[in-house]
Amino acid sequence: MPFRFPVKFDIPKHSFVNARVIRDQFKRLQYEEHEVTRNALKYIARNTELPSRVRLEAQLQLTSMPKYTAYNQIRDRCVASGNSKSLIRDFKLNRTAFRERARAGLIPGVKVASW
Amino acid sequence: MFVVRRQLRVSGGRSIASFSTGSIIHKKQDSVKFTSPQEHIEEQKLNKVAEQQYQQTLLQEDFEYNPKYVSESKVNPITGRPIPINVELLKYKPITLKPTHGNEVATIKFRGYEEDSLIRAGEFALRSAFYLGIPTSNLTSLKTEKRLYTVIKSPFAQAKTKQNFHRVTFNKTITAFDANPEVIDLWLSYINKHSIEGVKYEAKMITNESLDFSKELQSLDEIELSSTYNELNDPIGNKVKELLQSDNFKQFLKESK
Repeated sequence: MPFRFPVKFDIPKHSFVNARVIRDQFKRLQYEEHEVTRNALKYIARNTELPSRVRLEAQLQLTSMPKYTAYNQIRDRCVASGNSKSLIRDFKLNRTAFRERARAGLIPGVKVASW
Repeated sequence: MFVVRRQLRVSGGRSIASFSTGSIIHKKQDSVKFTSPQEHIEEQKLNKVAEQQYQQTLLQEDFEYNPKYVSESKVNPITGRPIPINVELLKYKPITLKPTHGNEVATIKFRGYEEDSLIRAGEFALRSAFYLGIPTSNLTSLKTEKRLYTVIKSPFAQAKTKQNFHRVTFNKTITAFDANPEVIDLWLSYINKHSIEGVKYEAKMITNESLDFSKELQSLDEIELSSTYNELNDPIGNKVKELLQSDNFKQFLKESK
């Protein structure tokens, strides 16, 4: 089976791994790699002091970059289950993973609230 | 822990640092009398004899051992002695020294999920400050933060039934006054050495500079603030430069001129 991503990269070791987590990891790594270029192009494209043709060229180059290099493609995922829905950002955990751990007393400081 | 008290002999012009580092008691200096060389030699001889006598008395004399206790009747079964005052005082709230001048020198902020461990850390800091002679405020509570997490109880459906969790973060501070920066450094490093797990320590030190501090800075040869701006170290800025100098962009830049 051919490697399905355009670039080879390491599989994440810190978290639960499934296809979607790997896809997200790939986007994160790609964003990190192209962050400087994207921001530089954005700077040129938005700088009103530069001639419009240059700005247009920068904008074209920016749009011609692959989508996986964009920041907005990255989505936070649960470290324990790989789920991306109802994620609690403070702990990087999904609601069910969070509830299990909190009830077991594994998350420091978190207790069942009653008032 | 035996505490033996000796009488301190203080010569004429010396200054004694009092218990608080902030204030220094200066003994009034006697009007200086100039002596002839022969007189000086005789004086020195007398001093030497007195010193030897003093040393001998130190060796012969039996020291009076009278440590202080809070409750003398209570005897430690292992040692057969009452408990020394500094150990006994651990049962009570820490004593603090009163600020002599009121200059704020340092503040420590404690942060954690358990109030007991915060109190333990804070009282340790207060006690060590007392024995180092640093005037401090009491351990004061700051606003506790409560973060509420409401999650659906069931892993699937039944979204009406929820469960609440919360994380309470306690904050406490100590303010230190009037001490020298060296003493504060010593204090903070001691606290750091014996820091407790589960408590976040944050220390802020305040130092005073003279009004012509900026002039002093300018006169320094090593610091050159302006030169740091000469070389552009920003990676994005460098990339912009590189892009605009590339053939693709050069062509459009030329056309527009």
